[in-house]
Amino acid sequence: MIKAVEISKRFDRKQVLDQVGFQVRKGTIYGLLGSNGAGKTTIMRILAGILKHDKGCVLVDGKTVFENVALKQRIIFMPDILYFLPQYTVKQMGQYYADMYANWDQQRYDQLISQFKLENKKVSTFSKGMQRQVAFCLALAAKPDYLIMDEPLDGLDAVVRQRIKGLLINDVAEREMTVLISSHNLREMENLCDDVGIVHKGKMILERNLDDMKTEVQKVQFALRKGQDVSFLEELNILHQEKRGSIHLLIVKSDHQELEEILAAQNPVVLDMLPLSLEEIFIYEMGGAGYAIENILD
Amino acid sequence: MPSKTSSIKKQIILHDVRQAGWLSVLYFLALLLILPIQIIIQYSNPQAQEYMEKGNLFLYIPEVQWLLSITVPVLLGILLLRYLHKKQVSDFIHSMPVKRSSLYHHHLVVGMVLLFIPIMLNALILLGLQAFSGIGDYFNIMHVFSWLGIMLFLNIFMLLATFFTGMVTGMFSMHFVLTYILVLLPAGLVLLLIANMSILFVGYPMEYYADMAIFKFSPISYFLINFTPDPELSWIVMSLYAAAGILLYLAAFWLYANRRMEATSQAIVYPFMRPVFRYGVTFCFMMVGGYYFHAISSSFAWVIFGYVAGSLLGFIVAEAILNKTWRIYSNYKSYLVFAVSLAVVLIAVNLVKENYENKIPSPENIVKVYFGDSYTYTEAPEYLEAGIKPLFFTDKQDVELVRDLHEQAIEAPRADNYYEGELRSTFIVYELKNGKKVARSYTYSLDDNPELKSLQYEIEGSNAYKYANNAVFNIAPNEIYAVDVQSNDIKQSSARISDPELINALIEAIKKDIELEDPQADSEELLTYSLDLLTNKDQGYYYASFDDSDKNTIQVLQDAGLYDDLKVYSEDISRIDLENFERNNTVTVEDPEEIKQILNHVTYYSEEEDSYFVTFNLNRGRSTGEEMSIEYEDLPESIKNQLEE
Ligand SMILES: Nc1ncnc2c1ncn2[C@@H]1O[C@H](COP(=O)(O)OP(=O)(O)OP(=O)(O)O)[C@@H](O)[C@H]1O
Ligand SMILES: [Mg+2]
Repeated sequence: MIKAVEISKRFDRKQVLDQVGFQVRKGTIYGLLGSNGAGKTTIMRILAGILKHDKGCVLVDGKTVFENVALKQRIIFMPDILYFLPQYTVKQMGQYYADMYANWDQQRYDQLISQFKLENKKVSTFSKGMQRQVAFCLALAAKPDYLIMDEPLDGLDAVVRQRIKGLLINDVAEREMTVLISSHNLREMENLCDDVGIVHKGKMILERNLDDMKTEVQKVQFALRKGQDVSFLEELNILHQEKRGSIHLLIVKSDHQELEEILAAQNPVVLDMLPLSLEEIFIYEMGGAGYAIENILD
Repeated sequence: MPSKTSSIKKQIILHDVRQAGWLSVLYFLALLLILPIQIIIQYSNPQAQEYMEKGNLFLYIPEVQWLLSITVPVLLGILLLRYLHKKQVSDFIHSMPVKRSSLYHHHLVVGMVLLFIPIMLNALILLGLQAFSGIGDYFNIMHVFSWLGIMLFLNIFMLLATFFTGMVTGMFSMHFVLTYILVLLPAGLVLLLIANMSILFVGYPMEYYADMAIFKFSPISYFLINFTPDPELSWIVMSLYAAAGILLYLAAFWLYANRRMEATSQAIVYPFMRPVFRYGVTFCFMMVGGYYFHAISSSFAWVIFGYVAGSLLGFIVAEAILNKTWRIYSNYKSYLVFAVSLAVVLIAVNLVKENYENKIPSPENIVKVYFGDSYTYTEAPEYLEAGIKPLFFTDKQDVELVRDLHEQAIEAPRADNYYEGELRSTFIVYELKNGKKVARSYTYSLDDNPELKSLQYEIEGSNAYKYANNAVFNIAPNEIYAVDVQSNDIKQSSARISDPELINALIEAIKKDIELEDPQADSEELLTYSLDLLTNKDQGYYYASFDDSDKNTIQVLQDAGLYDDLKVYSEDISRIDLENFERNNTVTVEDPEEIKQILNHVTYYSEEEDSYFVTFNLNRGRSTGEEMSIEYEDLPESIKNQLEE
């Protein structure tokens, strides 16, 4: 489990993180969302043991990461801008990781490399997306318990993206690997993450479990007969309301079953429970807060 | 969870070797060429063999050996610590499960080994040469070991210094600059301080302090003496360097442990060091600026201007480096802080200035006084008679005379560098009863200070001064086995005197002539003879010159029948060629009267554009072929007329 409690960090005079706290449960995938300069990379560098935070505490498995070799053996950090040792080939990079990480699985590495159809060449001669694939192979073959990835899906084509997501989900399910992933793109995180946290200007402004979220908020459209009393709506926790002609469109914080029963009791002419995207939930939930949530929804 | 991986990371070592190994290979080859190969080549060539160095292995192309040992370790350190100076690399390495202390030691040990191998291999080859070939006559095992030891010492010290600066900075380019600043700083700072003290305090003897030990303060200059014929390393200085090396190692270690990786790519990583850097650079630039304007103008107003301009420039440079931008005016407050503290220092200087400048020890505290134009005579050469140190005034009256002159010198205006009259640079060092020394130096004009002039001449005319400033008075005659006397530059003839009695007579005559010399009278004679007194000890010799006004010396030579051979008489000269300054017109002189007149006025060299170059052709003896000069006004009238045409 990763646990961050009120971590603060300054770069020179600039407050980059301001009492950020969150938790990533073991064997889940956590998406860190936020606009440019929000502080996502900084959080990840602290978790990877590269930076030291000023205040608060960061615990992985109940221990601090900084200079903790035994713990860092089990953590892999994949930065947004990848780095490979100069002139190193795919195989040599594997040897380097093998020397560093006790859990290194050479067989798995070879298997992944051939699965991605990567040749044993100097990594620097590869395209950006191919380098990204090498980084995934290295990360997964090291069999980390914690995988921290900064915008890992950038620059990958749709096929590769799907394959990688599959591999991640597989490791999470099989080995209970814990994943922290950052992105600007909510849509991309939607069917991958268990939880998401939104960082804005160095603060954690929202944390949600996606499954809960989908069951908590409902979208519904219905039409009533002319002149029918609508006062029953005041009982509901409405996030958003629209009316087009006689059709009402509601986004309501409520249980699916319960909402349907309440509405059905009014004998509506039309009643449709609609599917709701994560994007809409965020927009409606945060709309009132005045945050520029659109920024994270490319 | 027990770790399967070893704490020695093969891959880190491998990566370092891949990155920096080439440098080690080149180093090996360079040393191989400089030492073993050169020695073999020289040895196998009988002609070159004669000139081969004996013993000291540093003397094979010393400049290159020295240059290599102060650059290779630095380049090596820069390559090994490059990962600290690029954000992506730094993030990559520091996300790996390796402690910083372990990274540090991996790189340091690899660096040391990469320096050790090329030096050690060359030492082994040298030992092999020594043992299995006749080359063994030219150096012995101890020479190889001393070469090995000192090379390793210097190289590893430079590597440690590079590791230290590598921790201080987050920038590749600054790493290089800072390393050399660090190793030169102690010596440079002391030198600048001394130079500026001499501006602020009249009488501050810059050369006295600058001579003493400054070169020991930087390994770069200190180890330079290895590459001279008599390397004499002091164990104390070496121990201090060893201690400094250990301190650098520990400091670098501590800094690394506390390094904040977000400061990668900052000029100075640790915030607490930034003011040190900022004000240090400002201070040094200020001192350079002040000294520069002092040297070119000698006016104190310009010196102040130099301080202000220098410090501003230094401040701007430091800020620009720290902030990596030229837009630095936002931090003008820091400059004000500097300016205010500087003003405080200058006020403090003013408070002690008067006291310092007017200090003349009272006669009863003085044991002896040195008075002369430079203070280099203290270390008496070995051939001087043991026990005698007449280089100092001890006599009460002489001491009083020096004190009187000192008093006048304090009052005299500091002579301008461009002053054209008769100048004196005077060095006065009092040795006091309490064992302390008071040293002062002055440069003043004699023409503008009549009182000073008469005192100066009085001292210079005194026997004590003459004894102190002419080493001939210190010579133990029985150490001299021969005297070589050379004629002046027109005629090439010389004589060697080896009769002990004649040597004694000559030395006594030289002494007498010096005693008789009046410092005020300019010698009329233009041509001098030279004397080399050769001693048995260390192939040393004492050099003196004399001319025809030194009657006693001439007399001794005449009595010995040597003078006629040395002297150039006008009868000896068959022809004189005069060539004008532009070298496009030559006149030949053969008339004995004209020759005589030219001979009496000829000088070694004249810068006057209407002067003539003179070449002598002799009847008797060989001419040195050396060209002399004569001024137009000294030419005989007939020649002048001849030239007009
Ligand atoms: N080395 C640094 N020195 C000073 N400030 C920095 C440094 N690195 C980042 N910052 C600042 O810290 C803040 C957070 O940066 P961070 O890289 O964590 O954001 P991010 O959420 O990852 O942004 P992005 O989506 O663009 O990757 C930014 O305002 C940035 O300007
Ligand atoms: Mg980022």
